[in-house]
Amino acid sequence: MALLEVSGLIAGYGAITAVKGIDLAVEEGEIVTLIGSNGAGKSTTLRAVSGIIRPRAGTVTFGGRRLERMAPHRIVQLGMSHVPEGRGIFHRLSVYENLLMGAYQRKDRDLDSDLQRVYELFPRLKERLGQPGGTLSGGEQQMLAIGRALMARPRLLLLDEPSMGLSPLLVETIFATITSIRDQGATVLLVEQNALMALEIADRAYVLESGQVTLKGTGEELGRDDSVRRAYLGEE
Amino acid sequence: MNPIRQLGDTTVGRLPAAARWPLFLALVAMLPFLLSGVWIQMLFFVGLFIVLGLGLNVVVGFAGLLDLGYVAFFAAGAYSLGIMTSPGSPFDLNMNFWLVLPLGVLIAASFGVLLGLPVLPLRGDYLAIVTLGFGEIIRLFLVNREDVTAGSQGLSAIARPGIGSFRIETFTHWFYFILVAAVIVGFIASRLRDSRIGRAWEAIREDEDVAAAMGVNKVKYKLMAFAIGASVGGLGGVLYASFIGFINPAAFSLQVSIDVIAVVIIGGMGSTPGVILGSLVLVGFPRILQFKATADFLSKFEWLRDGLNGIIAAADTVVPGSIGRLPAASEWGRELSDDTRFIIFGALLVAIMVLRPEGLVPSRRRQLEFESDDQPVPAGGAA
Ligand SMILES: Nc1ncnc2c1ncn2[C@@H]1O[C@H](COP(=O)(O)OP(=O)(O)OP(=O)(O)O)[C@@H](O)[C@H]1O
Ligand SMILES: [Mg+2]
Repeated sequence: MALLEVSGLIAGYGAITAVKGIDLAVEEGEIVTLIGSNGAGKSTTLRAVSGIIRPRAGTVTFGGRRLERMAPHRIVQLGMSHVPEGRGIFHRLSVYENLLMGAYQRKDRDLDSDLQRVYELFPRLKERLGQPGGTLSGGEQQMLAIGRALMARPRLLLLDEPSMGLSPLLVETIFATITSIRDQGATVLLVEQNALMALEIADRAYVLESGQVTLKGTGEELGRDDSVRRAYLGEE
Repeated sequence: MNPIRQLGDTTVGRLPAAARWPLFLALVAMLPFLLSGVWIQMLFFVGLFIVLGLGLNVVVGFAGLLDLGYVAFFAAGAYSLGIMTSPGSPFDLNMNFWLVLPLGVLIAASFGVLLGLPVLPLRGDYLAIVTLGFGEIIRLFLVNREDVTAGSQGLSAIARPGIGSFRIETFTHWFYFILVAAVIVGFIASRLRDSRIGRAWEAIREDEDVAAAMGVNKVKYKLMAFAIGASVGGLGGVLYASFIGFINPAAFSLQVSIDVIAVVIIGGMGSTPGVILGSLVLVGFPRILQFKATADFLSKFEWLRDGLNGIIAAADTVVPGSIGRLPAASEWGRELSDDTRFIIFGALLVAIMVLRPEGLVPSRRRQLEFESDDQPVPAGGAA
């Protein structure tokens, strides 16, 4: 059984149904990416999986546990970390305090090795520990958001557009980091606008359109697919 | 840089942080030796609103939950003491003050949870409106349920505390009592703010979805904020009822909620020195204006009144009958603190919001929030 299994998921907001019955699976140790145009329902899918919004129908199974009715803080305890769209940095808390928030639900208080790991991935954060999160640059905030999520020692990391608004060089760094996070043992479900790079590092990918999965395959397959190239990689 | 902030930095900034509070409290504790009765009474009320402000600050400043019904908890504490100790109470319990004190705090805390549960999913304006209604419901309960509260006739001869044969009676006794209460509440609040719980509140205040994604139990921490804020409101109510000795529903109007929230906002949300200053300005100053000493002092300005009235009379001859005359100079303080008080209050709030939205003495964090747009704070070590 896959680490994460989503089946027949329906979710939305008020009168809007943004996700209309999707199935997807993420195996332990994979990087799986979810691509699709604006408003396709990618963020909504992640929110429904991590419990920020409650699914209307369908099942979400994580490590054998059903999550549909579970409160988000309980889901975090099971080993899932969600880096939300727009990063969700706590502006008034310092960089250090933001990192501590990431480990909020952990029972053990032995955070040193995790902090070290975050500093190794993002040396810039170490130089700015006392600085309020809100004063970091966009790229630094993205590093902080990922670093903070790693503080939870997640089995599964949900990343919502980690490359948004970053310079090309920084995008490279972030994607390299995602790969190394996976190599260190975590599983990654990645939502991206930058489909080209996402497909490059992903083991498998799903294409979402108007709340439904329209295509799926390995990263390589979708990277070669004509319709994907036209729609998401900007080719004619 | 803002001149007010600079002033603040140079006057207290030089003292080592650890020495500031003990020194300040020692100075405050000497006040009864320097001041007479009405001043000490005034300071009791300042202290009372510091206690209430610190309590509401936990809810509004720390957890970011705008509560406009704080009077409900103040009333719960006051009526707990009234009902359980007043000889005129419908229940005739005649209990001891020290027994009722924790009970009143507990009852108020449970009112906090009672309010907290239904408003859990609400945010911002919606929360403010529901809490406003809650305060009003409690007041109507006090008026209408005569079988429980003695209604508008009120409860009198409410118990006063004693320690052995010593009774807390004079203004000076009460001054020290409220001082001790404020110090305890202030200490607990500041410890909470810097704890794991405080960080959870801060996270909820900034973005409750992200807080939940970090593993913060929103329900638990929001209810905790409501319960802690409410119990402090209850404590204030118990102390107030005992000090005054008589309560009726009129004392528990919306105005109390507004006063406390104004104390918190004007001083600077989340900041203890801010609450102290806010209470001095909003609670202390209007009372000073009502002192007989103030009237005596102002009566020296009768010439100014005559002069101004002369000008008004002259203006009247141009546009006849439109403007009234100034009252006697000795009445100015009373006028200002009575009828005009709310106009000044409102104007002050607007002025603060426009000129200094972070409050007079902002909390460290809030200051960061307002400065962060244009003034990056230099990097430093871990906290
Ligand atoms: N909080 C909300 N309230 C109401 N509607 C929402 C909300 N969030 C998203 N939607 C709607 O749900 C639909 C899907 O939104 P979603 O955020 O999941 O898209 P997305 O695939 O992440 O898009 P993008 O790539 O632009 O981030 C959109 O039509 C959007 O307008
Ligand atoms: Mg999105």
